[in-house]
Amino acid sequence: MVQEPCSISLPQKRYYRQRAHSNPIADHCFDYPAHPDNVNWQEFYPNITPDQHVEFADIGCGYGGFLVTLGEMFPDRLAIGLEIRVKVSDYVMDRIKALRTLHQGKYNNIACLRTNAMKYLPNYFRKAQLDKMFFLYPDPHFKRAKHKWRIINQALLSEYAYVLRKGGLVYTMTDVEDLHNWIVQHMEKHPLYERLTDEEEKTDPITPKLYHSSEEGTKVVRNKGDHFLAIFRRI
Amino acid sequence: MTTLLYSDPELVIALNKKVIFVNPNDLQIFKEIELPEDLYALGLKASNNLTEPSELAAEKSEEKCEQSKVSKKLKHVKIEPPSILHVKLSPDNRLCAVTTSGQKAVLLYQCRPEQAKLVSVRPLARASSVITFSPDSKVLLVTDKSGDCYKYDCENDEEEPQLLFGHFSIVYDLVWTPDSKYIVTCDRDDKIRVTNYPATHDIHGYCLGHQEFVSALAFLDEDTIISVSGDKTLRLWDFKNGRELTMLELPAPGLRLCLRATGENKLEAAVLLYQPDECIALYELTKSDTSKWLVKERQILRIPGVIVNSICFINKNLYASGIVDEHFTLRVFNVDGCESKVSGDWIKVIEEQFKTEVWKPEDVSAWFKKRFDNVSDYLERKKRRIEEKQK
Repeated sequence: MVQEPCSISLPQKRYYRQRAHSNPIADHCFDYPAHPDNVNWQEFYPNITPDQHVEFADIGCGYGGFLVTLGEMFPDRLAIGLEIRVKVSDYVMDRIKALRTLHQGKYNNIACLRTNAMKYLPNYFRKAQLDKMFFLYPDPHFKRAKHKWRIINQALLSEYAYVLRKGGLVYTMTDVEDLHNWIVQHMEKHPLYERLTDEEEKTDPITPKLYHSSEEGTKVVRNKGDHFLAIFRRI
Repeated sequence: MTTLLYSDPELVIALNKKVIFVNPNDLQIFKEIELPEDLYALGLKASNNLTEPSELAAEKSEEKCEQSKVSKKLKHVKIEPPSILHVKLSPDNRLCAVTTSGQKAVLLYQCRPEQAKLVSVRPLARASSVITFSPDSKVLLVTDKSGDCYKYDCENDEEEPQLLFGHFSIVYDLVWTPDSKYIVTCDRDDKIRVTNYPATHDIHGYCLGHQEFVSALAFLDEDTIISVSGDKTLRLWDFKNGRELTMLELPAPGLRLCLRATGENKLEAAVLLYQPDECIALYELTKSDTSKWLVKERQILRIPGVIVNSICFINKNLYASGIVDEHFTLRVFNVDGCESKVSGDWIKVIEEQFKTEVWKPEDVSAWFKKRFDNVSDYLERKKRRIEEKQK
């Protein structure tokens, strides 16, 4: 990989812009491990210990704003951002590198991986490995024909349930009300999830961060749009 | 597509519009099924509403519009006759399931005691990729090109097909454990997946290791499956624990697989290969005293000039159906791998049955993943940008 030279400054987003949509069904140029055993996590987390493994996954992490916050909130736990777009994932990788250089000893618990989360989650994560998954401002894929491309659907929910441990949480956030309804409807119908109560959603320490830390989120706040949050527990 | 399958005592052969049931010993045709021309007239509904039952109200009205458009279109356009995609007999031999393209449908025929009788016509959302009956013959599972798996109830013909689970690429094979507790599927994304049944929302596990499409699966015993793949390997798995037991290189990518018992704890496997002429490899599988399966290559069969599409064992013989000059052909090999001469005459009778059918082979090269590079270009540009800056 090409690196920004000795990044003293954070990478500039203007070099990494890319359209918001990607076809998750098509073949792409991905190197993916045939089995979770084949992943060298040391490449992602320089200080990883043998008994440590990734517990948080931000699916479609975009420019990584929330991933960075997550890393700050939980310095002892490993978080991964998954992003399908070439330039955007490269931006996050450069950003993490720069942060590690600027703040020695910090941000070693976050990393970004370019992959297709719809296809390759079981190639990276074992059954019941993850404790939290985040789906923040996913592509709404408005057209009915593209609903199968949505990151939340009946079939994918079973895959997420496979990589999530019992009691693990799924955080979803969108500014599209129809998509929010779709998510809630599918999650509630799936026998392996239950929605947290309003009270539980409000008091989760991550909730306030969800409104502020993703770039997309900040934009929506600026536009005075509505946010729709829903958190579910893997039963 | 042809189907060739054996379900004692019948050899079943299907192509385009016709399914024939033959006695493999004396060639007598027990019965045949000719597909009806117009399935809509038999009550087939337009099939584009076969998604999840839980749709939002807005989508439903949108769908109604679509449906009325479809039915209008149907009135004006000449109806394309249905053509057979897949055929299966139920384990109890009472039912024959047929999926069709053109007019996409799932047909169930009652085969016993009378002549084959059409008992239900139900919609099929997309072209089927595999169909499999449950061990108790009460349920038919149909997977489609997009990876969805639908359940068709065989006892209640009126029941709508139900989406059970989904892969994200085409499913090439589906097998059901004899105790019905697990469904094992394999797909174009290198995966073998073990799904609980009837709790199909709950994935039991994966058998990962293949590096190309996984095309066929079969059980060796209650804990072990065998798989063949486009990555030119054959692998054995402890499927309940997702553990790979053995791997063996194939001479070419594997497309299909069939097994026969040759003795106690002894099996023979035939693998259809993706290469011309030398297109079937035979393996001997032996279970040792320590319950470990050993695989040994036995021989390669040559079928020059034939594009083989389907293989099955009948007793000691291996039957292969394929295409010569866009027409159906059938070949039979005996236990030594020699082409059986004695059956030549009756094979002609069978080939005669499909003489008028033109049949183009499927383009299997499309099964392999297309690697297109959308990364190095970007990295090259980035490198130049950074070099610019440093100047």
